[in-house]
Amino acid sequence: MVTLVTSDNEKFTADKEVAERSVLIKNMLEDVGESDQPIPLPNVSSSVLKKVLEYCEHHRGEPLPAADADTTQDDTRKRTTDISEWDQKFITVDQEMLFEIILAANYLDIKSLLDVGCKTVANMIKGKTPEEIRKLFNIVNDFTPEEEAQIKKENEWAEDR
Amino acid sequence: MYQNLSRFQELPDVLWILIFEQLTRPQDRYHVVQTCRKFYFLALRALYGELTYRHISHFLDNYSSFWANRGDDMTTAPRSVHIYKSFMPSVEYSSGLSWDLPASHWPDESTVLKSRELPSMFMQSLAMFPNIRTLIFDNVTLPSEFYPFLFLFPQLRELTLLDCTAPCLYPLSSGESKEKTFSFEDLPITTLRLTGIRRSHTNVSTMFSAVGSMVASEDVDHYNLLHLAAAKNLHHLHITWNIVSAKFFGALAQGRVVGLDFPDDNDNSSGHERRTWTFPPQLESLRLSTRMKPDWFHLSQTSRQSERRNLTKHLSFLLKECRGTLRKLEIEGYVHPFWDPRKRVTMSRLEVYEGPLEFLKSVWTPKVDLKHIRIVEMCHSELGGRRDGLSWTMLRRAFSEKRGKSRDFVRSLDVKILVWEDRTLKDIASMFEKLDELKIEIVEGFPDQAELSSMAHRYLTRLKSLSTFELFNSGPVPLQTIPMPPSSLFSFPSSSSSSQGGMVEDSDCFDRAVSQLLSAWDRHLSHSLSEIRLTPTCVWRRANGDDQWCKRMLDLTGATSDKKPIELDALIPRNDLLLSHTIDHTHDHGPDHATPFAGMIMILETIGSYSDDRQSRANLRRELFESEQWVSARLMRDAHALLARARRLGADVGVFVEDVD
Repeated sequence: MVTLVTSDNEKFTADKEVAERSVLIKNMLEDVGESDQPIPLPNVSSSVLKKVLEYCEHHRGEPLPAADADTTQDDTRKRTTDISEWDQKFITVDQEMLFEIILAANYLDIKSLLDVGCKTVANMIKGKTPEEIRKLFNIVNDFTPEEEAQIKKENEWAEDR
Repeated sequence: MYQNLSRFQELPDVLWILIFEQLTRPQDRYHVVQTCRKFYFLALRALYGELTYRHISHFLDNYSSFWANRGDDMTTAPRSVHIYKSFMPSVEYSSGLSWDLPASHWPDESTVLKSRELPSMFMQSLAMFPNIRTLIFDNVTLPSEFYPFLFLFPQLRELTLLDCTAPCLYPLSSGESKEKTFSFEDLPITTLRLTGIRRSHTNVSTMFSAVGSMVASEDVDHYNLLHLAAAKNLHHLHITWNIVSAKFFGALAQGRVVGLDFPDDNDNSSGHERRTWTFPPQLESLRLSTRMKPDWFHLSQTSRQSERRNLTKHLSFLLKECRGTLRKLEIEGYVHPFWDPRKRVTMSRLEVYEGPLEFLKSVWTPKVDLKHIRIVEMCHSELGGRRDGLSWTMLRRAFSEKRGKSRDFVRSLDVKILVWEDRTLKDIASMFEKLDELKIEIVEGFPDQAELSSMAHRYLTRLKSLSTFELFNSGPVPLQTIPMPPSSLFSFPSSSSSSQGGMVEDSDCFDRAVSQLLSAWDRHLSHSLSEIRLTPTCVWRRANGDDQWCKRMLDLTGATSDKKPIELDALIPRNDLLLSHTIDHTHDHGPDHATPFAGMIMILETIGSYSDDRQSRANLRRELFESEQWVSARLMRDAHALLARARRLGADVGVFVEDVD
């Protein structure tokens, strides 16, 4: 078992196999060697770590992605743009939690969870017009009309028609 | 789901970039770029990573306003370029096109547009992207500059030419010989797809090389294009397998493709060594797209026989050349089995076979330990090449033939069977114990409730390493056969407010039924089993043995076609269509046995030349084909009687019917 300490000083214990889905924790454990010392995670709060461990528990035993991305991995990524039903249920959380999960997955280096988070946001962007995207993220359009026209002209190739 | 993600304004840039990279459609990336300045800068490289040009005017606008005089390193972003059929404008439209580029780039606009070739200037300008790995040309006319153009991309790994018109090389005039010499061996590509190549209108092209009788072929352009496959780093090759490619690859494999390079004027060495093109030494996977089985009958008897002989001969040469390296062989269509033992090849490293059952026998030989087998029988090409089914009896016979091969290495098996037979799973469990992936698609029927319920403890439990199990009817879901939950569950009100209430209820009910079935199966299933598919549209997954099964929809876009197969049943009732023909036998065993009657050609043949009882088969064949009855079988009734008789004699008889008109 591994003990993890969150930013709000809460302690979590998890199976080594589960915790090691985080490359950060895996590397830390390797550095420390056999030891009962708790691992501090100053960038992750208890509510977020609880969710992250739930994810790792569910996906325990699944193969981890290879460290260096090559073309075959690119292909796999392309093919699996969908999110599994369990993951979808898992990631149905409020925007604050989604935001925190993405940050935590990045910090803890859990690639598959980071992908699920990024895909969830990407799915929200998909099919939206620029104006709808602005509304979604509460962004102000800071282009001048001339710049807008220019962008349209040079990127018309990307319109799917 | 989310109406507002304003919290994300604080997201670090690097994570925004990851999100934008998850957008697969260029259009979505484009909309992000249009949102605001920050997103413009963060998403621009993702947008320009994959270029797709559907119209030359888009390219011209993009070129003149985005790429021209660009000071940054954006030219390193594009990694793939996809050119579509619509790229070249119609002649009428092109007169209104503004060529906002230096005139010197366009040697002769009118010629270029008339021929609808990709303009050389366009090809040249793509060379400003040093990191291009993938080039896809989809249904375009390639210009003669295409060959030197390919050498401009040091990172090029994948080249795809789909339904393109091959470049036309005009005869050399003196003094320009040097530039017609290409060392395709040095192309850095590892993957090459050359399918559906068409020839240009002219036949005046010069050739890169000669293969005996092919010096003056009318398919010179296509033939030239095939030389790309000489790239020495080539690992994956996908080609249309026809007479031109068969001759080329057959000769290449034998070291008989001799270069016709013109000597360099400055080369003082005495005598010019004739250069021989060599076969790529590391070919790992080969995919052949070829004529589908029924389409062979559109050929006349003579050309059918000569093509069959040629294609078989050259395929044997080709496979022999890559027998030490080939791991994967895929055949999309039909190739004739190697009945002649001298043609057979032992591809000792072959692990994956995907293609027709008949050819499997030719590759699955002793010393070949196949790991993955997917049997794909294709229907008529007019039907978009749909995968067709076979009877389990026929598959079982092919799999169970001993002949020294080993089934212990087979890890995945994927078959499509015509009619569900009770013994199917029992047979598979006893023949392929080591399977980790089993996929069975059924055209007609489905196991009944009792079979389904007992399937896990009777058969699946014997497949200890199974991780994926598919068993589904490709038609509408046979709801009634999945054991239904107690009737009280039926009265559950549907929680969905969807207008298709009834359907939702059905599907909910079905899901519950599947969940119940799976929980009943659970204790008999191995922990490794993580995916089960019982319908065409979704799978049930779990992370490990302790997990709940979760439903996951499958994205079948483009995988299914609405077209219905031609109902052969209308010609002959299904039960007489047990097996299909074997053209080889027709040829190899004497005269043409096909006899036209009632506007059709019917070919009747016993299958498999390796029967235990060859003599009785030979007798039967003689009896069938030499009988008066066959010649006079002018009515369907007679044909039926003949088939029935054949079966009484213990033969599996196949019928192939073709409407002559």
